[in-house]
Amino acid sequence: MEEYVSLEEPVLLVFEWIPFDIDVFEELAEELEAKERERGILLTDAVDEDPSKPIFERVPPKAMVSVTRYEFGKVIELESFLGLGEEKLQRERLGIRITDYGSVVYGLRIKSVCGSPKASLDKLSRIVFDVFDDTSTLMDSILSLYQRRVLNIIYPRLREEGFERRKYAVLIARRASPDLPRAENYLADPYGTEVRQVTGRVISAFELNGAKVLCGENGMLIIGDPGDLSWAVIYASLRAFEMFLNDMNVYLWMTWDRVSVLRRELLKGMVEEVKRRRGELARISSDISLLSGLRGVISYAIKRLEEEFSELEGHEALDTLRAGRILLGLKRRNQFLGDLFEAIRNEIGGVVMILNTHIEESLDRLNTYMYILSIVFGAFGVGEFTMESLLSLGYDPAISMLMSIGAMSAVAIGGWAIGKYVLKRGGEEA
Amino acid sequence: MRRLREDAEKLLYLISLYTGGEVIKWIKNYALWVLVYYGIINNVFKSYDYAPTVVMWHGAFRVANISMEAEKDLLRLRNEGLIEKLRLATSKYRYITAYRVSKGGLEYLKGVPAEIRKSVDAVFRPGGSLVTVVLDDYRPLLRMPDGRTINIGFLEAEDVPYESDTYYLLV
Repeated sequence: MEEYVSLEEPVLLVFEWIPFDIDVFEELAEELEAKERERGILLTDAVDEDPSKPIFERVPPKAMVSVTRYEFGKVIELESFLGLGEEKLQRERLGIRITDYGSVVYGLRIKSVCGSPKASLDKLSRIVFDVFDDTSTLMDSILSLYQRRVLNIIYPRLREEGFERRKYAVLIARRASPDLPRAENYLADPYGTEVRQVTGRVISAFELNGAKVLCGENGMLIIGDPGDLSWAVIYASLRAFEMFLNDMNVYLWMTWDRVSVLRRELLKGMVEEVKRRRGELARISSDISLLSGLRGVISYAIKRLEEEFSELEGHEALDTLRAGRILLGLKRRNQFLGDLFEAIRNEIGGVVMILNTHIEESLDRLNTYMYILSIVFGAFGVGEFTMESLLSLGYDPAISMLMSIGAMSAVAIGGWAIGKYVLKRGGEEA
Repeated sequence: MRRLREDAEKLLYLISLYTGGEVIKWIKNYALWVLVYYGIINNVFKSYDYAPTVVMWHGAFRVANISMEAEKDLLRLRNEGLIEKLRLATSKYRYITAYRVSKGGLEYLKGVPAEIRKSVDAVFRPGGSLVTVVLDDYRPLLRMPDGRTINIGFLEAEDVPYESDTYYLLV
């Protein structure tokens, strides 16, 4: 296949948003012994299922990290080495920057690709997704179970090969070949489709201090030296945060759809597998509770992003990219989230009521059957007792039989009448 | 209308194979992605490439080998009125997109050279019957007319050997 654009020793920055607040952040700092600048901590994504046992068995380390910088309540920087103990084609070292509000950046300078310092966008698109995958594995080893659970709800089957969460990629290179004069030249054929492999649909292409910037929905390409990169960091952080909120919304809408389907099925009288449906509802309800607890964390992240954005407000690139509108959109979305959680909770409540009604109806039917059975067995008992008593008193067997049938009938009719009266009273009271 | 590029004509013909005819049929975008990928690795679409992209795939996000060139040609075919696009809601996976060849598209295909059709038929209609996309759990497989079912690796990203060093943001 043809490769049209290549970059020289590019830097790849991958941004994602992971729910953090100041407490979770400091807990992580504590666990990584960030204050001590401990080096060479081995990590694994395995979970200790039996904390009472003194020895671990068969827990292969997945990565090694060293804390390189820590600022209380603000930022932790790590150096990591991925793929320990694996036969991998890559030798991957990367820097990680975790902020108190959940913006996580992974940075790596790509020294060579297939032995060459130049890398085509075609090959880089594959490297980007390899880094996406490896950083998900790495963060699985670092994050708390609570954070992992949140990510696993929004991105199902995340721990399986090939399943991924969305991240925003920024590629920066001092030189590209061909060296085209303007950013928009890279959008023309045959370069455009190759650029889109790393950026997604391109939203804006412009020049900044002589550098060419191509900004897309999934990533950004910067060719040349635009100077200070703060604007790109804040923009990519906003985009990554927007991706998380979008994906959480997708999960919420899908869940709402699922609960609506359950409701429709139950209303149609499809009441088989009630136990499974109740289990599914309990799981959904628990997931929704966990996610709705994120609202505080989301508000904190928006506040912190707003603070960082205000320091750069009026920056030419951020104005061109309409970053202010993204921030405004995030704030509005957070406001609507509350209503969405409430609506889903109400929907779940409604389905639980329908399920309970079905269960009560089943119990009523069961009670009726039990009552009828008790009358039948009771009547037989009375009949047998009458028969035996009359025979022992010397009555004729035929007369004894007739008398016992009469006693059985009287008990059955009486029991049925009393039962009907009791059920009617019970229904009226209900 | 100007003549389309050869690969765009092949894509249009491919869509017509699955959606042409008396009965109104639409091909869902996920099935078309898989067929395009199969066409690329079998050298039908000579100018197309694919790249790993995170997409919503049957209720979960995962990496899939998507062709940006094919996406661009789909847009062109729509803008030229040669295909129609349908967006529909589903109960499980939110929205899906589907395509079908339009009357204009069928008309256009009458002028497409026989060798272009033949190159598509050879891969997607071997022996006169169409290759079909089936899902095994979430994994897309191709069912061949001879009864074989094959995994073409549409959801498997390729590894590229590289070496990297740490990079910190100085902000």
